[in-house]
Amino acid sequence: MKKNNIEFPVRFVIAHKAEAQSLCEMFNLVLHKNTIPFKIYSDKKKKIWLIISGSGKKNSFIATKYLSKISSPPPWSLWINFGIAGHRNKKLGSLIIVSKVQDDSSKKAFYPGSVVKLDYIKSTLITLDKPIKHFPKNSKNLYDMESAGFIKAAEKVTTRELICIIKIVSDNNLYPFNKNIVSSAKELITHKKEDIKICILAHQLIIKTEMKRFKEISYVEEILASFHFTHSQQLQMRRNLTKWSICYPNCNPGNLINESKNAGDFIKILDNQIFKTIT
Amino acid sequence: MIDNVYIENEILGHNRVKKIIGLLPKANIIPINRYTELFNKKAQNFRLQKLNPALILAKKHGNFILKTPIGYGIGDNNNYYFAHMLNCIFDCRYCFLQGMYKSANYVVFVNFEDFFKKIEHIIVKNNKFKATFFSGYDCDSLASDNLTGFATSALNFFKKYPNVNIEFRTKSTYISPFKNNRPIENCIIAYSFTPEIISKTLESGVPNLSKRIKSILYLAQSGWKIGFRFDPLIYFKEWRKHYQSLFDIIFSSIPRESIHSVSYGTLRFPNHMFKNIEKLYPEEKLFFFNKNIENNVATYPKSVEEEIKEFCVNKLSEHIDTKKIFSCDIK
Repeated sequence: MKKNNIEFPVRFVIAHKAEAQSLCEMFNLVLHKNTIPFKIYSDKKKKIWLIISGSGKKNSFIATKYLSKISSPPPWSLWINFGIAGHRNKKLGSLIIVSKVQDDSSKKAFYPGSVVKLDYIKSTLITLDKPIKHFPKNSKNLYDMESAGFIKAAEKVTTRELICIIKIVSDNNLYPFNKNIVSSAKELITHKKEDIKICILAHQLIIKTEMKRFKEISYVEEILASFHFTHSQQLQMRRNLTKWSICYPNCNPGNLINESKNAGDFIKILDNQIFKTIT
Repeated sequence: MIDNVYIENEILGHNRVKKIIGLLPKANIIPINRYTELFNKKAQNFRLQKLNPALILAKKHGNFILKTPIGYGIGDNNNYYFAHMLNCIFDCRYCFLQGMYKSANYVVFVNFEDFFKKIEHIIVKNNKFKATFFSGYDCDSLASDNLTGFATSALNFFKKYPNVNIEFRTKSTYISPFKNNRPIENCIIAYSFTPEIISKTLESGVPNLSKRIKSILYLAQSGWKIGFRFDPLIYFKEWRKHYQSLFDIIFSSIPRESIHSVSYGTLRFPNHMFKNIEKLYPEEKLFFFNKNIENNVATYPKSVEEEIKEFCVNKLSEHIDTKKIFSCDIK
């Protein structure tokens, strides 16, 4: 089995199986059982997940929502919509990063993340309701049928900076859309395997940065069991424990429980101990 | 270097837009309808965007000039602020903008002339009144000026109205607009400072103290009026020693007669902004103080606030006439 090098959580939403095959091979993804109506794949560690949405923005919207429920993505997961798309004059097989998505029917615009530096062609993408054979004259846009649905759903589960849309040009003015395009996608995509991996790995820094915010905190259960905490006190206590872990690494704040009469008192004592370290 | 530039369709042909994108030949240009489509929308993360902000070129349509909160000023009774730009190229951990906006992308409103029209309207309406207009409230006034060219336009406008002051507030060393113009009496170039040890750890991208002092000295010697802004005053280990040293360095380097004003204010945030910032940077020790909330403003505990203010005002008054020292506490 090949090592895939991706050590952070990724969620792929892909329209067709033929577009997903290369990624499944690349990341050793295995099909899950009983995930009707969608086919879902993941790696052994359950870090990388992939869903086959079927064509159309409605399907990709539902599939993205479904994947967000079934795969319990950590908040620092990278969400990728990957697949083929048409472009008037770009060469077949060109890899393009989408910087804006426009839903053709509603005219609503969406913006994927722009933080990561990716040295590839960038373009606006128009999500259509039906495939087109002839591209509008002078158009510089990509065309697909899924991205608007994907990004609309992805924005509800994550932050824009962790949303990425990667397209491979499958049809253009010289080679217009036809029924066989989807089945020939695997070959086009296989040629771009390394570039796809580069695009994903380029997100490592932002994922690490975001992960820091959600660092697990210790001693929560032990302290919650000691007093009755209201909801807002619980939030405050969790915040204080994060601070505590920075000010007093490896030191159990549970020792302060005996000095406290109640939850409010405990929070106050923590506050004072933390403040002491910065003055 | 800016990788992505979003431009409102309405201003694609604007001369200032052409000039700005001419300075960014490698940037990816993305046309948009309105900047509000992508700036400050939900599902954005200021901390992540700050790793590589995009530039948004937009046209402002309203709310050009606003009154400053009561208590904010440097001597005039009438104080206004405006923002030709939102966000800043520096990354200061204490900055309130990170709690105010969900987006760290820079917005530049290119219709400077519309700002000036509104200012002119206020000046003409209030015959002979004294006022100060602050330009660096939602951005650093000069840090992106090589791109925007705002300062030169503002100088040309304000020299026609000597009764009102314009303050450029900055941490940058960019002084070309002042080098290329004769000093005007009603312009204050105000520099924000924290002790060097704090600047090194909490003010990412800000030029070091000696470089800034060199720029200020050049301006002072050329006849420009200088302001010093010790805002926020920050409480940390050995803060007395470091503030004392900062004041000594500054006031021994810059001729007293060039100093227009000095203002100060302790670290403070509207409480909802403080909560946003805490969520963005839960590991940041700067925010580990026992916050005191008064009028929905989160500050240091009262005793700490009074201690640091008293110390700094005493030290500042050793260097400068107390009439030139202003508190920036919002009442």
